[in-house]
Amino acid sequence: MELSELIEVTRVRDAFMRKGPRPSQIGDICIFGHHLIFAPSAVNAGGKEAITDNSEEFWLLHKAVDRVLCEPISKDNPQRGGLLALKCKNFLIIIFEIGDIEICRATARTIEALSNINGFLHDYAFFYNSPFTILDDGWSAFDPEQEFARLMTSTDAFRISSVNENFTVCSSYPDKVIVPKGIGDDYLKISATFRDGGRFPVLSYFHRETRSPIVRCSQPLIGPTNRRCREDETIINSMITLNRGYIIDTRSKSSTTAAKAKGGGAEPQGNYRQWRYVQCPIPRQREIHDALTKMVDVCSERKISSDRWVGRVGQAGWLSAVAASLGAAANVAQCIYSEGCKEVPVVIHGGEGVDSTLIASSLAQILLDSDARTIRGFESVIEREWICAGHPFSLRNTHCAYAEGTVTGPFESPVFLVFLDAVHQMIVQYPLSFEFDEQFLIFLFEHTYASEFGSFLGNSEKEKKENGIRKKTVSLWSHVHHPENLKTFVNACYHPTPGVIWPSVAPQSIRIWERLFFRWQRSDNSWSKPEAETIQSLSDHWKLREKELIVKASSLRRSIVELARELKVSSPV
Amino acid sequence: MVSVNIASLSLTHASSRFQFPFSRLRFHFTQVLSPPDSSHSAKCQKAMGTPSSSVTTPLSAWWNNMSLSGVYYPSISTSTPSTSNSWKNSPFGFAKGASTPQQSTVPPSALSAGYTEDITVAGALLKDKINGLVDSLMRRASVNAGCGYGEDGRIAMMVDKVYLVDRLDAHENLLGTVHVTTTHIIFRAEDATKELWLATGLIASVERGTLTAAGCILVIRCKHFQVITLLISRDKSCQDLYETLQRASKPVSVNVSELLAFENREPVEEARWRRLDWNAEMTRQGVTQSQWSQSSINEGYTVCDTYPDKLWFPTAASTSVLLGSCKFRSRGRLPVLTYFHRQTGAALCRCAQPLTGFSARCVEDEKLMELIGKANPNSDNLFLVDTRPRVNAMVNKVQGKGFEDEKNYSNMRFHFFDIENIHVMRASQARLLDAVTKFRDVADYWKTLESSGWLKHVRSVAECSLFLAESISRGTSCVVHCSDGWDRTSQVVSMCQLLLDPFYRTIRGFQILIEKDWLGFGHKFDDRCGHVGALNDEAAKEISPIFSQWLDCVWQIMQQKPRAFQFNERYLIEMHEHVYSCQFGTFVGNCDKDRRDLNVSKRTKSLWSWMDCRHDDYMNPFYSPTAHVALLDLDTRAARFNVWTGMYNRFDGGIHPRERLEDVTMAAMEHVGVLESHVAQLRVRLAELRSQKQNLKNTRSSTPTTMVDSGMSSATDELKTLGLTDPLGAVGSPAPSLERATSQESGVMDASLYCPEEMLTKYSLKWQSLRGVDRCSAPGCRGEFSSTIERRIHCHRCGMIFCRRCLKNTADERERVCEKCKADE
Repeated sequence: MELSELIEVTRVRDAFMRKGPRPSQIGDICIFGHHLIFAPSAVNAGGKEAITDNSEEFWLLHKAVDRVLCEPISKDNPQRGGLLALKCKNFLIIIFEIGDIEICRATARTIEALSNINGFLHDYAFFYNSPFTILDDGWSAFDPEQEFARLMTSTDAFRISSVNENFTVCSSYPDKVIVPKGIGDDYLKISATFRDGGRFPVLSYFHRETRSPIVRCSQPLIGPTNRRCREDETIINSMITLNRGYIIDTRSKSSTTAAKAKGGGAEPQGNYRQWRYVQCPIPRQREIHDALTKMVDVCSERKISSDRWVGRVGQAGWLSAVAASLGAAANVAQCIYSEGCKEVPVVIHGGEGVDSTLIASSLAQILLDSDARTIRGFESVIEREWICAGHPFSLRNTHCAYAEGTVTGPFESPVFLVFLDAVHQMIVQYPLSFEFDEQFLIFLFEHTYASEFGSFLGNSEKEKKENGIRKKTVSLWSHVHHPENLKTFVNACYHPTPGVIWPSVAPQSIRIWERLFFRWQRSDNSWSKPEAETIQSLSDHWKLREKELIVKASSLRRSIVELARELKVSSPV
Repeated sequence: MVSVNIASLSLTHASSRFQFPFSRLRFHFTQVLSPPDSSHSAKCQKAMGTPSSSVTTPLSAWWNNMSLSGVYYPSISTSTPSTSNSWKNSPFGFAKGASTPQQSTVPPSALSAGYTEDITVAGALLKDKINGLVDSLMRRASVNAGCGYGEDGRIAMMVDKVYLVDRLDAHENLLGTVHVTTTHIIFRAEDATKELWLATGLIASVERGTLTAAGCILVIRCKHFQVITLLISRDKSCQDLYETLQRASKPVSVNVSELLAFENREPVEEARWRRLDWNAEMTRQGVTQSQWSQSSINEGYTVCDTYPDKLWFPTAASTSVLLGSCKFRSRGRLPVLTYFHRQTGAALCRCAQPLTGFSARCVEDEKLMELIGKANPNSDNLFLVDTRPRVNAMVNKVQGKGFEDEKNYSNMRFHFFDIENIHVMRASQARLLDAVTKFRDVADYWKTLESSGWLKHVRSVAECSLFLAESISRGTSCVVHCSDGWDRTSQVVSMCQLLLDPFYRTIRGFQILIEKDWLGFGHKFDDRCGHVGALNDEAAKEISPIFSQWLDCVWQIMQQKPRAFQFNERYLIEMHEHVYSCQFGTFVGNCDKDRRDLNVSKRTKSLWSWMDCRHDDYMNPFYSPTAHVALLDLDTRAARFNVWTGMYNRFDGGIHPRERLEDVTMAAMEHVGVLESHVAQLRVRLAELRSQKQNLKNTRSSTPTTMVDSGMSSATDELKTLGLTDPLGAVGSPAPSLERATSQESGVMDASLYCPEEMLTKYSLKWQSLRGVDRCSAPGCRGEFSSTIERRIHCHRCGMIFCRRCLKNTADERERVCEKCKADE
């Protein structure tokens, strides 16, 4: 299939951008295979001073468009042309006025078709050449062998297994996984038949200080007949050393019961005696999807009354989902870090083990480990716990909050965004403990939906390999690691907190992520920088100045001491 | 909290010496602020000159001007809040790791550190410790005999074996003793790790729980939103304590002059007591005789007892017009000028509702409105804003009050705004407090929040104020009233001025605004705050958090415009506490006349002078006086209004951000100032050493030299040179000026600038991080910070964090140092 076949209109002249990421202006819309380009007309109407920022072209990936709407400006008089609304996956809404209603409809059809191409093989990522030299290749930055080698320095209770070579045992796992040492590959294979999707227990994280591992898997296939699997029990029990472990189930009681009827279920206490079974419910993917849709809906209503606003934010359930995720992670962290107790293993699973399980395990690492709060550490968490662990990014992120109708599928869900929002809540509560800032999270959010990089393409390592994504595309981390880009994400006030952070999950502490939900809603066309950014830069300024002066003072001190000593030697008065 | 800090030291007033710590800001500041008194402006100018002519760097210049003496007033609050058992297994349980208390003991000696007498009882308490207190109280009780106080001797009581229950369940219950005095309720832990002081004025309610095996629960709710939960094993003592507290918080018969504030025994400087000078303020606003002039009509509060005695009216209005209008307005509160907008000449006036009933009219009132319109050079028309919902206004018609008929007033457009009455606000706040204290589930929390409607009410105040501000900046005068014109009117009128005039967004300007539109125009603080307790249902209905709501609204704007305000959240929160605490006379009384009759300015202390002493606590590090003039681009969408967690959950440390960017930045700024002056000192020393070396070389090369001195004399001069140039200039820069400097006649060495190497290199360059600090570092104090909002202050030498009372100024007032560093000097 050629993309050009889908393009009905290549250029729309004199379209008026009524609403968008910058003040309204007239320009041409050009449609290419992957991009929509809006080129403002050179002369500004009314002879006002041309603002340099706004004369640049505006590029938009078709993939970033969530929903296309087209309607005549006035129903009675179609001659006045049409309105073309592009609702993007990052919640930006662009509205063009196009003089000819037919051209407007054709444009809408074109964009609709281009933004809804099935699969990712036509994605821009495969055609993108990095304009920068890749100094630090993101594809090789988080090699599992190296990660394992680092783990080996603190424990030898685990081994790296190639049981999943060619993805035969579990299609959503990577080819190399870390498993308990005493367990042979045959046991893993048997366990895989007992776990949903073949996701047998693998190591997710090892907490050095308490020597406690976090292990994740999918639900056991107990079923209504109460099947059991001795091999699986052996694997799980092999992690017990000193204390009883915890099995954290991220589903609610009712959904566990429902899963049991369908062949799934949870570990019965009788067969896993050394484990405590705890439920920390995180909403399921559909609930999360509905929550985001409602949340975006209520946030985009400008004229809403206070009571309705408060009521609908509460009902939307997005904040509950974020709070629940943070709560589950905090429970995991507390199991690991319960004071005085060492070597407490924690097993996390939900249903399939690719959504809420990953939320809990990745957030727990960020709570527990100060390394995960650096840029590189955070990337490593995303790479290990989301990309390699088989979160189906392509399925989940085909559409976002606006899309409706037949183009959407049942698998779409902003699970990863819940994770990002939960990290944002931590940044709000610990603004100094993270090396990166909110901007970085927003950046990641946008790139999971539409990106010129290949990191979030495909649903698993298997698909990545089959399509040669690692070879044919550029990694997002290569872009981030470029010094020029890296510095835009660094939090200048960063001052690492060693050890664990304990964010509050009280309802008052879970804030609406303003930068995410209100980024495109400016009051009365004020296009100045948001105050929060100014504040941040002021803080950065003083913090840097302080550091600078400390360096200066200590160098002065040094030279004084030296000079004084010199004088003392030369003139012992 | 080991609040032994009861007594204040002699108040070194810094009130009028009101300077900025940062030169960058200071310059702008003086431009914006039209100084209300000349001494102030002179000081400003002096300060402006400082950076170039003085040795000190800008910040230390500020330290010079700021009085930093460790004046500390009873801080009533404590750290960990407590509430019912519903908080067991609480969502904050995760805070455990973070907030485990350091089990340090506070030696009793800390109790008797040097204090001067301030509040007689408290002073006695500190001297004689708690045992002595009982005696002194008994004596006091006899003085008060017959006032319904303590005749049965139970007013001062002591209950031991009391557990302080931590509502967050982060700590064990603390065993201790409760002492009840006429002024405070004190909980003291047996192991002396914690001391909790609560002014009786702050008690909002006391509730008794049911008797359980463990004992009886007693919940004390405070007006500053602290909740203290006590567990008392003996039922009898619980009942006694309950009754005593009831009596202490709601005295049977008491008048306002028996409030804590009147216990003050120190002479008070009248001039400093008040912030507002009506004439100066009106001149500052730019009121000119041609349009508006002062009238002596209310001299001696004869015409309207809830207004100030100085009032401004259109110059053209005759006394008969004024008196006529006065009779036509509820409680004689006729339309009077409160703010004059210099840029457009439009005016903001306030009054009470007219006594129209269904058809009454008053020619004089209509005339006065016309004259108010005419006083505006731009437009004769004016907006008349009734802040009430239309229904409420209609109801008032039945009682012979109501609202103006547009037909009778030739030049007027009428607007209603839906701000609800005091009863609605009281209920709303109660529900809000439910939401913020009871719920753990996100959905439940939002549901209760919705049912409280608090954010809606706050938003309606902001919307009405924004309407006024927009109208005035467009040149249309506005007249505002509600029912009596002292609740909603005060809110919107003062908020409107805050939006329009950057002066009111300074620390001092804000005080003037409050003194003018709240205190001056008779917001009934006594009644609304329930200072003397509600004696009956009637009085209970008068209580309403109108002023708190206004502070909330100010906070909402601060969230949107973080650079527009000179002050920070802490300023509002502490002000709120002391509106209720009754320790200061500032917010006592229902109107100006009350305060004059009570002679508060002689008999009590002013909150403003107390706040002056902690001026730097209230600074907003992001303030930029030039960033905004009028805040007319305020966003009043529902989404921009949030719950003020810092206020309503002030004592729930666990749920606040653990790191506050604002505080960190403030500390960084202070540290930068200290470092700059330190770097300057180091440069001087380095220059001296270099010249010594030079001299040595010269002597060695047997060239007789006339440069006799040791090089130290050059210090001052050297620094001057440095001060004129960039103080952060390259390290090597002293070299060229060296020769000139050393050739100066050997003068008297400035001892303050000379520091031996040991002194210069002894102290840490790094300051203690603010993270997780919950106790003062002084070994003798180890006092717990009562809430996350309380300021952590660094010692300028050792860089450790102390509480305010453990820090002293150096002799030259340049630095703020801890006792240990001071002793090292």
